[in-house]
Amino acid sequence: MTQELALNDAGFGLGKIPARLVPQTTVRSVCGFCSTGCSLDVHMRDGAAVNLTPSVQYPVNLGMACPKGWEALAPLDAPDRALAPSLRDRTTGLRRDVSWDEALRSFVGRFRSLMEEHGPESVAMLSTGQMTTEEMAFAGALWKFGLGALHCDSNTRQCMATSHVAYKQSFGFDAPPYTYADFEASDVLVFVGSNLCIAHPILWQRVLRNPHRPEIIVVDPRRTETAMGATQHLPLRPKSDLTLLYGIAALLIQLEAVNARFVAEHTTGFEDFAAFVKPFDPARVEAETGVTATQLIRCVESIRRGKAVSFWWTMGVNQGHESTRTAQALINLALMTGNIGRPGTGANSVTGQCNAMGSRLFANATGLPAGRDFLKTQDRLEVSQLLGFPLSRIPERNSWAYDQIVDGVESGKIKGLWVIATNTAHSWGGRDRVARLLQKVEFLAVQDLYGTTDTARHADLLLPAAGWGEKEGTLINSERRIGVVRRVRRAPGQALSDFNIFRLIAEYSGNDELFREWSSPEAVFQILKRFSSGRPCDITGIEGYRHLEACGGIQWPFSALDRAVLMEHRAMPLPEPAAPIPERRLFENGRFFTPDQRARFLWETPRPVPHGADSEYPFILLTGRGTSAQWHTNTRTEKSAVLRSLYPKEAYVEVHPDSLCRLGVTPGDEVEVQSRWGKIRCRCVATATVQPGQIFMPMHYAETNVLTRPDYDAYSRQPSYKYCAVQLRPIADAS
Amino acid sequence: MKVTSPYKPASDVFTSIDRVLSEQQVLSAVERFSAWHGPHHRPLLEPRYRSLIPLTAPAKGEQYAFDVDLDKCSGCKACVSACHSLNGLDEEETWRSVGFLETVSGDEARRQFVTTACHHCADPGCLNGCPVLAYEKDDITGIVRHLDDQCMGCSYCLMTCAYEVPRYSKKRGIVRKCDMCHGRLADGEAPACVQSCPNEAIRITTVRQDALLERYRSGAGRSEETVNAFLAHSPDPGITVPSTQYRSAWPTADQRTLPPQETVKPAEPHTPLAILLLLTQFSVGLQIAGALNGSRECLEMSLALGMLGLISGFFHLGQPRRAWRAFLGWRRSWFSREVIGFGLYIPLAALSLVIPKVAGLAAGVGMVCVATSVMVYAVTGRRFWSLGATALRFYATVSLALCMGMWLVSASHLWALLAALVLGVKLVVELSPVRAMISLTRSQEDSTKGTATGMSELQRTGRLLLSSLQRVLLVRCGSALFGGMAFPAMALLTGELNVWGGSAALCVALSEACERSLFFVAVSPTTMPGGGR
Repeated sequence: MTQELALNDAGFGLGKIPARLVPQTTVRSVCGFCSTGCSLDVHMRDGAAVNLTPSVQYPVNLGMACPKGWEALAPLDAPDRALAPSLRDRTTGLRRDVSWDEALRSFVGRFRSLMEEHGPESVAMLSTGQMTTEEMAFAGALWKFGLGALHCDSNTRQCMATSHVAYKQSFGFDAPPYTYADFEASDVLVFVGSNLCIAHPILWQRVLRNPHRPEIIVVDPRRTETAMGATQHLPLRPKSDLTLLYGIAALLIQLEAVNARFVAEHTTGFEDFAAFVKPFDPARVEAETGVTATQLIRCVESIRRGKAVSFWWTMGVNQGHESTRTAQALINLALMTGNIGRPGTGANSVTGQCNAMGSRLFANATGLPAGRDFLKTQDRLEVSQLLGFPLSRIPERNSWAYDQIVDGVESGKIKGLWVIATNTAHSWGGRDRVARLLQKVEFLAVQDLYGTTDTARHADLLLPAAGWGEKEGTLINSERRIGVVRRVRRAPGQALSDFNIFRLIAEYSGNDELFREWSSPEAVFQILKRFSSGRPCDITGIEGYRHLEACGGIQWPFSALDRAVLMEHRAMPLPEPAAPIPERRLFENGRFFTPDQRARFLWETPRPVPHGADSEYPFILLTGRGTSAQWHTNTRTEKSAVLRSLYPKEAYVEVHPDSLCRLGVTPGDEVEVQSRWGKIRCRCVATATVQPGQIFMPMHYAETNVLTRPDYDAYSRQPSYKYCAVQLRPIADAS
Repeated sequence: MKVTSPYKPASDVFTSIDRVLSEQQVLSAVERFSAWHGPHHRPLLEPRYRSLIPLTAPAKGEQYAFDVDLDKCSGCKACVSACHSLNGLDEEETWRSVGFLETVSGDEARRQFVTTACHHCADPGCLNGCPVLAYEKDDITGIVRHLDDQCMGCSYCLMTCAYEVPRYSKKRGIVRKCDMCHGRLADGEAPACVQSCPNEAIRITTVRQDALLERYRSGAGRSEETVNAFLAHSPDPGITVPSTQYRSAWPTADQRTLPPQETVKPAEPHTPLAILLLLTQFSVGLQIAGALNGSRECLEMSLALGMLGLISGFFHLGQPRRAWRAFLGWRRSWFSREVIGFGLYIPLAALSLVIPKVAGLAAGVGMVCVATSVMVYAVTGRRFWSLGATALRFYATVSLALCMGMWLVSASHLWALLAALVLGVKLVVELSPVRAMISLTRSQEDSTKGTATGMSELQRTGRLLLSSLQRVLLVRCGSALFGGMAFPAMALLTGELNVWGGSAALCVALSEACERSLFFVAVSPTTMPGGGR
């Protein structure tokens, strides 16, 4: 028994490992949880993955991983994996296992008959930021060009739509400009609505490695773990961020901290913007945001004095009722101070999901691949030529957004729904309503690893999917780095990779000829390269997966021209493929992707929160990440016993101790939380990290979204999960 | 290696579905892409952790220790996962955990994560308590190692460790715990937790053992100052003298600290142990009664109960075949001494049936055995199991059996009165945690500022007794009333001792069984902040 734990030298630079786990070989794969894009060395024994360690020689994670990464293989072994397709029997109402042949006939038959009867607008697809880029591209092309449907959106609407729209409008292309080295190169870092420390712990590592003793400014209503690690915390009122950011801009202008030369040469709209923000003086900011004039001035002084200031944001900005303008308010700050295109600078959106960036570029949902537009004939023509598809196959209309699709189900316009690798019934606001609507859909096909998710339970047809580690493809991380995932495990039962499911659907729908070239993930990668050619995200210089692996991933852009230049300047020809500089940022020449190559200042008058707190619903519910061990709806992270031991099992609500005292509730007791849309019961935890009058619930528990019914940003249609008026009651009163 | 798919199509016709299902089963990645990583002799991470582990072995009087910079720990818990993966632990097994303390100073709240594993104590409770010598403290490194092959799975170390470090594995029937990756350290590699911390919050240092003893044991008993010298809101470090050093630039002394409000859960019931304690104590009581009144029935009953009790103890062990070794730890372990004691007592009790004069000797040995039982729990440092309270409980149980035995044999109702008195005193002592809890609730209601301070060990026990264990407590009190008062009164009034006296004895036995069950489930273990698990 003692021997069982004895350690042996494992080779591969891994150090010691228990004898029974010493790998025969290792395979490198990028993690499939969040957008950090850590590389993991998967340990192989007898042809299957038995363990993994974070890759040391990879520019992203430097040998580290968060608990999710360490446990990345565990969700594959879950006992509730879907092993065979299953179809709901119309007479019994129960789902029974069927053959792939029957499942695919049913899939194609039902969607086709709905479209024939009610038009192509009567069906929709809800996809994900968790598949490989090749799979996303295939799903989007198959749905719209192959099956002739119109509406599709993905859960990236809930996480990254705002950054996408904000960058597109300001820079002319959805282009996060930074590289992770910028975390280490800044002397001032401003985090707005980002609990990087918990949500992206491996990136927080880079902040702590910054050698410049940086000023870290955190703007967040909660005293998050990130705020505790900051030098300045601005605890503003929930959703008053736009006013605060305009106030910072006004004060910077007043202190003459504007980089006039950069503004004049590389931007448009600054004069009008300056006039607009003038009334946002410190007194107004204090009155509207709760951030004192002293705090504001100290923050602005730090930005003014900073030589390399970077601005970072995550969901606290993206999930708001005026989120696009808020993101752009940060972009404006970077532009006006000339903090872009240099090391340690930038207006930087830290992405959520492992492949939200792939989705934004190639999913064929809100736009045609590589930032093209359904409404532009030229773009449609290009896509049809690049694919060799008839132009008539490329829709001339935009798809509905996620919320419109959900509303479409309610109004009866959407009759068929295909949900891929996402858990709408948990993640979309107004959970009870969503559950009701999923019942209402005439045909619901769900493609997932598990038949047990809140959404899969409602499915008429369940398609069993292979997971991360059971398939190949690429993911694009927050800093635009394309990394490879590898097939290191055999999928259980008859589960198939999403890619293979799409191939079969193409064949069963009579589109096999059209999608002949889409034969393998790497073949599709070559199609993606063609899409990107000449676009800002040009990746034509990447040879293929092997090239990506040899270089530790490659950031876009890396064009064929870049590659040719690189090869030419090499002192002597080397056998290895061309490796670009591992950490690269955009806009170093100050030229943006707009037609006039200038970045835009964009702004709008702040609006009050719709459905705000009042005397009946006096508390403001904030939602967010609970621990580093949980991922989104907890579908995969709950499968690991280790991860389960790292977070509370049941839902809980964090309340300020003074509020609890006033309510007469003992910490640890159950309370009732009620919003305008639903009510739940859960345990309360006293913590002074939330302000009195605000409460916090992690999003990973199904209860949380019973309460939220978000409002939407007008431009990105991203839901606002970061503000929900609620009331809080002791259980005794409630009953 | 030739890569082929294990997929077998159902029929001879190979359809496109068969082709795709077959392809899905091929691990092409392994074949094509794994080779280029190449062999490396030294660990690639070594440059990163080289400064986090000592260059030389500890000198005499020194040992290795975990050194945790609380201000660097961001609470990501990678250390827990990495320890699990790199040590090949069982699915549900973790050797490290992360809890947190929350401090409030002025308006500023701060959540301080506390990563914790075995503290490799200077005076390890696990080692001192282990009856089978399954622990050793390495002479050179001071690492406290568990010898899995020796362990009989009695779980006693879970009680003697002040930090709940050893974890019992049902599957293996033994306990396992952190060994500071001694195999890695011996070869200049960092322990898994040190290797995997993105922020370099954990390192290994050498500490002087006499300095630790001085720091934690020089004061008189547990004081807040001594506790804070280790870590605020942690168990008294004087119990086992932990070697881990927690550092923080944030002083905790003047701050209001909010420990997290975990739901208070009942502890392990340890039913075989509860039965063992109860029956052996009944046995000793009846043995005394037999010695006093010469009743053979009492002595027979005493032997039967004593043997049943010991047999019950075997069911507590994960590896009962290794139980014969349980006396080995007699130099340090009260558990071993208890085993040896009862090992003597039972033959004497049997002998007393043949030679009645031996009953007195057996009773005397029995009383000493009960003392060893008291010590088994008193040395754990848990407030609910303090020496006084435990001694009173156990000897009161002996007295109850004695009184009942004497009463039923002699029919003198004075014995029943004595039994009622004993039960009353016992109940008063048992309910002290409930009183502590009620006073806490009152003080919270009175306070206007609402400082939600955490509960003490005894208050947590009180809360348990008033909430999830309320029913057991009610049965305990109810049956005590009937067994101690109502039925003896009936016996007195009706004179039918057989009916009412017998019922009273059964009722008292039931009542005592509830008491002993509560003794285990209502105890609040001493743990590191946040519990973490």
